[in-house]
Amino acid sequence: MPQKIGFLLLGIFLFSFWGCKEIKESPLPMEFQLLDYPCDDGTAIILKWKHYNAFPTREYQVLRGETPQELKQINIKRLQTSFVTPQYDATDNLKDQDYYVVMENNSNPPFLKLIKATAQNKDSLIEVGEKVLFLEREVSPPDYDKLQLQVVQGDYYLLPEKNEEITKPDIIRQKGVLQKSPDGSFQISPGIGNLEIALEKRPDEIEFLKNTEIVRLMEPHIQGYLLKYGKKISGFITSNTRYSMSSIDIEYVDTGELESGKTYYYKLLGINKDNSIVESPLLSLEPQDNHPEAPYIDYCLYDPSQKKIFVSWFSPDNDLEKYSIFLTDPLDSFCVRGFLQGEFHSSWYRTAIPFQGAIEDAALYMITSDRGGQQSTTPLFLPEKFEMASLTLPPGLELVEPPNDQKGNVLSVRWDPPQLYMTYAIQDTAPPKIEFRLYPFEEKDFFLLQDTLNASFTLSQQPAESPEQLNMGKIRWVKESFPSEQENLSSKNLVITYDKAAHRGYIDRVLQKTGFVRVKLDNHKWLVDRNEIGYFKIKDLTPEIHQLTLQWLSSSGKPMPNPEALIKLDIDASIPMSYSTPIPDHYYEVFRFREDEKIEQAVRLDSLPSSSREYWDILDSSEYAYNYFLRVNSPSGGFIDSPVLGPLKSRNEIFDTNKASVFALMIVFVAIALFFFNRARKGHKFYIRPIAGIEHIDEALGRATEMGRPALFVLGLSTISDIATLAGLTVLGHVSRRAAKFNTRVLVPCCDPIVMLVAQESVKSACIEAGRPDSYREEDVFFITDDQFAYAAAVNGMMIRQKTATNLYMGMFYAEALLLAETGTRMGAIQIAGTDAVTQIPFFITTCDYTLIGEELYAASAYLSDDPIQVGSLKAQDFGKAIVVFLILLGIILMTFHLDWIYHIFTVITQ
Amino acid sequence: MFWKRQLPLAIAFIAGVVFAIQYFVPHRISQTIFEWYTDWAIIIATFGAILGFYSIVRLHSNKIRRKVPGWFYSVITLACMLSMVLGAIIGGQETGSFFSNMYNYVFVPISATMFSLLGFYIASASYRAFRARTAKATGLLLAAVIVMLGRVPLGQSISFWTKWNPNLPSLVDIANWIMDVPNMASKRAIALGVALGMMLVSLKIILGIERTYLGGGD
Repeated sequence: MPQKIGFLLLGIFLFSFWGCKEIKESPLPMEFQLLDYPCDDGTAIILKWKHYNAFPTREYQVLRGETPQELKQINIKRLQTSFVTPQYDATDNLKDQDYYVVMENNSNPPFLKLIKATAQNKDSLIEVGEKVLFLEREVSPPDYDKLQLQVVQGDYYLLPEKNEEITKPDIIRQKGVLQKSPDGSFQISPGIGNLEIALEKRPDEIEFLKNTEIVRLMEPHIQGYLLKYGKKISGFITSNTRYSMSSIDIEYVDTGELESGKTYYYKLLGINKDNSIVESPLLSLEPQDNHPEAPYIDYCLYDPSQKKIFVSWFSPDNDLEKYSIFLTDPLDSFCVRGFLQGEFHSSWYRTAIPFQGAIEDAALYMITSDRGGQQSTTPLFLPEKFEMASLTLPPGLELVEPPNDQKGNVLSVRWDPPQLYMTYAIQDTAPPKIEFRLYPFEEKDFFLLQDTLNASFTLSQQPAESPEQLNMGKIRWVKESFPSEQENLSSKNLVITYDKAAHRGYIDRVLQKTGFVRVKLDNHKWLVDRNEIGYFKIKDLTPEIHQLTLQWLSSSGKPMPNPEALIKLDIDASIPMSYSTPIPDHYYEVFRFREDEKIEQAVRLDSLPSSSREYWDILDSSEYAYNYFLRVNSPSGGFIDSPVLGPLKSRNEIFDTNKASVFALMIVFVAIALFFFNRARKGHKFYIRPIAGIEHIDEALGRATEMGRPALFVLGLSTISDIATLAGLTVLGHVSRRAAKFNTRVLVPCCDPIVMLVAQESVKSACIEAGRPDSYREEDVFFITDDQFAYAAAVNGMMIRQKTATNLYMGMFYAEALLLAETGTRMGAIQIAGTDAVTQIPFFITTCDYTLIGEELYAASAYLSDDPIQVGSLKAQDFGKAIVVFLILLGIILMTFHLDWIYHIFTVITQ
Repeated sequence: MFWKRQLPLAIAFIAGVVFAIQYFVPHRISQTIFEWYTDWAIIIATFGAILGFYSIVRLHSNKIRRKVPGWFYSVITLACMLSMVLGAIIGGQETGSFFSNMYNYVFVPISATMFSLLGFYIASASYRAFRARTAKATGLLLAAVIVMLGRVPLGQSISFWTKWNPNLPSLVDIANWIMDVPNMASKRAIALGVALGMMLVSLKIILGIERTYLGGGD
């Protein structure tokens, strides 16, 4: 019987996916088209198509080939799917409404026209149209998937049914306080209050709501009403058809290894939710190396004080080689007489040209050249006089070769010490008591005007000029709510956050001395953020003016020398509000060029915000020496370049000084270990405390022998490179030797093939050493799978079927530890576990009879062997632990007295 | 003897010393050696997979041939394995393929089922661990109850004493303290011991004192 069930399951398993690649004729991805990428070198093609939300497609696969027969998948576009269970809204039922859909077939997809039936047109509508049963909005109505899908055009909205609330005023909510001026006008001023403004609806708005149909087509004259009151409809459902109108445009740019002038074929595969597949038509395109577009000149300004012409431009091309700027006279309209002022790398977008003459006689033009040798010229542009913003270079600018970079291919441009940027907020954690005030406006003619630019409102005695604007009716009343002055003031907190990124990138030992931040409130003691979490919180602030000081310290505790590293502020703790120190709006750009190149050939590497202090340049090659310069840009247009830094060549170091403390400790521990190995070799006897888990292994094997059942040995889930697995293999050798003597089988299921091989060798040798080579069975040490839970399932099944009497778990374990050990407990097996996985030790302790905790697993090999050197290694380990305990105690004492050098000694900086 | 003992021991010694030094050398050559070693590890692991495949086929075909009890499970195992291999070779691994469907809709749910069993196993293991038979077990039970309550919103709600004096710690605070101080201290103590133990085992392997990995006993 079980065999029959097994074959039945196998049959179901093998045939369950029969026919899963069925290709349906429709719906196809709509409006699939290929476009040549503009202004490129002929190595990119744009794919565009339309996806209707009603399509059951969950992803699109893009196929490309050089012939129609050899198409390969190059990209997958997954569509977002909602994880919320859709709830169909009963208001979407249109059965009681007499609406009919009629198609206008003069476009593709056809336009859907929705007509309300009347006594006059009903008969003709029944003949040419279909009655609408449901409408679709965000969710689809029930059983929609049984209907035929029809994609249509249309923009319809569902409006609320007519009710008594049509004439109720609209409520606008706004932050701020209402202030009355002496002349009788009102103003909304910034503040901590909340305003509710009740607005009367305009007569035409009430008229629209009273007389409108519940489904309306979008038209310009009612657009505002539809957006305010309506809900967008994505489709209509009739008895046979689902008409869908909602769609998104999908675009994919293929830039993968295309060649200009070669024909490429593309096809889309739409994978539906039921795994059926739809195909698009096959399209082809030959990408072209396009002629470059002349750059758009952003500005051309002449600063008389600097005697320079600043030019800024923008180019959409992505295969440009260089820009050339020519100076000529304003009459050279054909741009042929100019003198070359400079040729700039394609990554540049602004430059400055020295100019000495009369600016009225100067004109410029630019020529762009792409990699294919094609050129474009701009029209002539004339410089305008303009006084540029004065900018200064950051102090301390330098180019360094940072030590200890892993490949010796890094150069670093860095500048001044860190600067503090902070935000502080007074937060009231207790719920505020709210007071209300009502201002009746019925007697006054006040209107609400919306300032769309600032997204704010003003009160005016004149109505809005544009009548189609909504929410602009007459004000009926204004309700103001504000926190009471009687609130619980003791619950106020001060929260300070500061910009840790201001010293980002400073990763070598010299610059790590930028240290940490401290903060002081009034004359209280300093609070120090040693862990650099960028956050302080001071509880229970009294409601008065406090003096706040924030300071950046070096790691030795000295204040940083630059004034920007100290902030002093008076803060009013009676008002909950937040404040930020201003951050300069300039930004940096870093340029790099080789020693043998001109400065104009420099590559613009990156743009950095004003809070940056370093650019870490990872070079492709460390063969050349490089020059760098920094450009400080003002958003208003000007810039200033630093002198050239360099040339400098990156170099490889022999020793990573950041890891010096690790190296020193390693040498100490190795020396201790060698000392104890030597003592052991000379015959010194060491005492080892008994480890219960190891001592009871024989007892556990004896039990298996008595019961005539096999023992199970699990080596964990890790590979042979894991020390825990090696320790487990040592115990396995011992266990196999004993088991061979007792003539007991040991099953060793492995999850790594290499571990299996080593385990086989280990068990085989143990059997030979025990004088029972015949007891070795190769099939008892076998591979199951390297998947965690499949392995756990297989081993659990083995425990249950073979009723193992003894289970030993020695090695590295993860979440499967409890699954294995708990099953063993239920089967009544005696269990011994040993692991260095800290998170799994509690599970083994609760389920196993004996557990080797952490290092005891490593001690097992020494304990089980008679080798004195192995025992000596345990003593070395104990001595090492004594050193660590001493260092911890020393660290506690020194850090208590603020002597934090010990902390930095043991800090390993990784990159 | 040379091939089975001395050569592997020499390789282990040289590789052990080289990679111990490599950790401290930030030179390009040092990084290249490390990357080269990583590539080789991947290649060897790939050949290991072939060994694993061979082991499975041999084990289960023996079981089928001998008609050992439950041999039909071996038929299912081999059939599943072969169908996945052939499915991937013939139908590819793209979304919607046989291989992908089997993985996503059969294998992943079954793995998730195994993982979800862990919840029930934790409950039964906890029940056994928390039986207050001794003073230590009672302490464990108390700590566990506090941590469990402190991890759910109920812990904050029933900390009624914080309403009398907000400076008193709530159950959440006590649970956090248990996790961050005594629990963390013991975890770090184990981790320190493990680290030293690993270091010494590594040293024993480099010096040839520990030879278990050669598959021949101690």
